[in-house]
Amino acid sequence: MRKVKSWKQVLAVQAASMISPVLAVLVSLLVGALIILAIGEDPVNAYYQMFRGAFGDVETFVSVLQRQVPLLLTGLGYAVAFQSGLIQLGGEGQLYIGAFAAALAGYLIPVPAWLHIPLALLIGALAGSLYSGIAGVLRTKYDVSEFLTTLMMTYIASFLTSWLVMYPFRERTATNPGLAAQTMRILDTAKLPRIWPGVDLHIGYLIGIAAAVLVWFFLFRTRTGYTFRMTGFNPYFAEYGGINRTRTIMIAMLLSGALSGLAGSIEVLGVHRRFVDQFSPGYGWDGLAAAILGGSQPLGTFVASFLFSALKTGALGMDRNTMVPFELRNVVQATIMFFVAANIFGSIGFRRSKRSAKAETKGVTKDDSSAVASV
Amino acid sequence: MTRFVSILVASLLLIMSFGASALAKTPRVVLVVERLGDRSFADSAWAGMQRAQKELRGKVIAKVVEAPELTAAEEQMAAFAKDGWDLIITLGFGYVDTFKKLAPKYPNSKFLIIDAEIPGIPNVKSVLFREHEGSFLVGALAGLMTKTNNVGFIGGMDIPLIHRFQGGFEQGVKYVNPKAKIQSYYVGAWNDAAKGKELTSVEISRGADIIYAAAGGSGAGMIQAAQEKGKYGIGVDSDQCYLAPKNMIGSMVKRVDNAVFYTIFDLVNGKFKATTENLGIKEEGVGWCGLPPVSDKVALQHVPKDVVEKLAQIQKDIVSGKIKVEDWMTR
Repeated sequence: MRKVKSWKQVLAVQAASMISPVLAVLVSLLVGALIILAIGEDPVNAYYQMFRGAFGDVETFVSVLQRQVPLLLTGLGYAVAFQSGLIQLGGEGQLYIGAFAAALAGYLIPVPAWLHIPLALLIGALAGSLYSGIAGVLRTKYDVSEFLTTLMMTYIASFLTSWLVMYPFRERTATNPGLAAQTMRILDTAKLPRIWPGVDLHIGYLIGIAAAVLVWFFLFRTRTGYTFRMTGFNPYFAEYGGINRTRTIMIAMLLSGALSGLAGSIEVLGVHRRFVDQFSPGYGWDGLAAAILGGSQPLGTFVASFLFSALKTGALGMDRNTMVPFELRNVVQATIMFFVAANIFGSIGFRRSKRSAKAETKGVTKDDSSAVASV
Repeated sequence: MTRFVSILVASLLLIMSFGASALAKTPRVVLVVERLGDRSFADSAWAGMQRAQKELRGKVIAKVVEAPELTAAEEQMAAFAKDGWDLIITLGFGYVDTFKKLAPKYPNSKFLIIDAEIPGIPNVKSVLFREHEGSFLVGALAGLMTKTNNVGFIGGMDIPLIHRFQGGFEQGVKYVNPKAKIQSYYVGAWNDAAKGKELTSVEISRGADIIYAAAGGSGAGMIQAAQEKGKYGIGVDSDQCYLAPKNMIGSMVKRVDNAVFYTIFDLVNGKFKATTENLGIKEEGVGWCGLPPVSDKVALQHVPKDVVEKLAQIQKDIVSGKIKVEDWMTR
């Protein structure tokens, strides 16, 4: 039987786990302020312009949400992999492969919209999933570290799609005789519709939220998800408990790649309406940052991806209205990652939650062992 | 009483004139560019902005914003248009979709796109260059100056626009020196100086002694390799001779700066026209920097007088139509 935790306990644990990332963000903004001072600008005004650039009007806020989608989806992909103990870093490459496949599906398959959109998204997700599956096979069959393969395959994906769009699939029409390295425009039936008419936000955002909920449900409320987390927690113990490690790793890799592929597909169908060479400004890497800051939790990844997206969109506004360059956003984000990765503030949260964590472990182990036995 | 009324009227007029002058506000111009600092294409546009800032001081507000990614550039342009900026300038055919979307939505703003044509929208001006003509000229320069009868071309991306540079160059070389060998390679990026340098070294090791790079920021690698190997280089877009005075025999200047400056100039004087301009040697849109109006001293110090005279003649022949340069863009 699962012991129901009291609300106080839940809140205490949640709050403790949030101390480190929140402190990291605040201190990084302070570091950014110092740099703004060094440039000779007023940090209060710069941050005010940044805030206004993200939340000032409907358009910019829509940009924040729009930009969050690829970060959230690739971030969820990383979260699934990290929870399963896989160091999968190939989100950017899977995003490119998925985006390219979705673009082809978007202009080559003439079917009605109700079928076209899900089909193109599915094809994109499948392509990303197959691509990460290569790393999965290499890991499970030949024990090649997925850390290396996924990282390297990111470059292969970027150059491969670049070549594909430069030569065999370059747009050639009467108005554009192959001027730019981009594919044909997708058919109107494959365009993601807007959520509200008049507002530029497409339904990709809802897909992102749905994916976050599903990933959470899968990881924390299903038996298979539990085996994933168990494998991540202690692979040897999990195997001893009867979990098929090969199968778990394969499914986790496929799922992770599918989420990143979906991210790319939504960018193509919702924003660019075609595959443009090198269109991603590092969504896969920002998604990685979001997953790490969010502690590989779906909710945490959602919040972190929103934060990074707001930071970037706001930085554009800051660039417009002050002399502080857009790149300040990279500095702030990198500083956040530094503090989180080095776990500078982690010890503070740890000390506070030690006592409640002890009580937690007891209940959890009991609960877990029975679940393992039943798998 | 009359005095009071007259004072009242006078002050009212004064207030109204203030109001009017505040309404007729200074035109605001923004250049949204992927990255500055290539010392070539983008920096040429930047030079036009700086010239406008200097020569039209007080008559125009000019701003440059870097947007290294497509979505960010789109957002910046949309934000400036929404804020009522009068002229939005961008470079390259990558932004055709964006302009087609924004221009009809913000009819009070004007738009200028370089290197791409967007016809039929009443507030978009397009400027194209006949780069093959200028490239023909520097091709002839290379053909006349080579000692090994072997010259090289480095392209940025393998796209029609750069084929046009390559085509002009090859025709120019062949025109003056039919026996010369021409090697051509493409970097595949606008900002990969390391690869540009590597490809240049390959061409030099295979006998080339003059290299022409039309590769944006990747062209910096060509200049480095030419310096290290003691060969001659030909720059592109901006006049790049100053970057390596001992090794540069010229640049194929493409006057993006003039296109930007004169469009701003027209805007300030209320003469902006949403036309398509096609600038070649005749319009002084392209050319070799050794000839007027640039007459770069660095180039002239390397190139002997008889070669300069021959090039001046070729330039005249292109303008008069005696020499027809084939455009490889449509090939």
